[in-house]
Amino acid sequence: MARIIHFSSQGDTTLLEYDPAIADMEEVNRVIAEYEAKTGAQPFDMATGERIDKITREQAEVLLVHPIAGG
Amino acid sequence: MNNRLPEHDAELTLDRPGISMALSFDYESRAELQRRDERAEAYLRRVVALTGAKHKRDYCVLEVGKTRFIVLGSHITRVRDVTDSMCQCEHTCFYLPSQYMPVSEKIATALLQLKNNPALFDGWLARKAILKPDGQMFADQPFFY
Repeated sequence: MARIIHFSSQGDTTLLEYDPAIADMEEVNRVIAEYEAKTGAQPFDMATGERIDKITREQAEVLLVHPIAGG
Repeated sequence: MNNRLPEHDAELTLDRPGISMALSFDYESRAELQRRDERAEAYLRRVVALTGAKHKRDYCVLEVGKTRFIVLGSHITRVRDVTDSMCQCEHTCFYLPSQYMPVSEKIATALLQLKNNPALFDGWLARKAILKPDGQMFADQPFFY
């Protein structure tokens, strides 16, 4: 099973859990895009540590990471 | 006027059920804070391994190409070119939207973001540059990049 998690020190939130072999990846990406629009959290692949533009069946664990500001 | 309570009043106060609840709540809060710190520390260790950063005592060092970032709880130093001995350090602060977040979680977030987009730092420096000496901004700028 693949998981999309939002880490928090208060406890992780599992946003989605799905079987990548049969899941509708368009739907997965739509849910993530909505969540990103609402919270600003951005998806990262936890196997490589890279930011993901589009989630594919190869990604087993995706972490949503807070946006960051500076100045 | 005597503001001191008689000793037996203090004893009565301690017997009230609300007080013992407050004490136990305080203990629970402390335990929860400790759990949060431990979770954040584990998260940082994972992110350090993922990004190839080095975890020092209370900061992390991340190298992206020739650029070195030294990330503390809310402050980042950049050495743009570590091969250039004349290269000066640049500094900026960083912020996350959550009001309370353990330091380890802040550092982990900064490491992931900077590893993927080291140019974020340029945006923060530019934002810093548009501040007037009194801290006011010259123009409205988007806060998050």
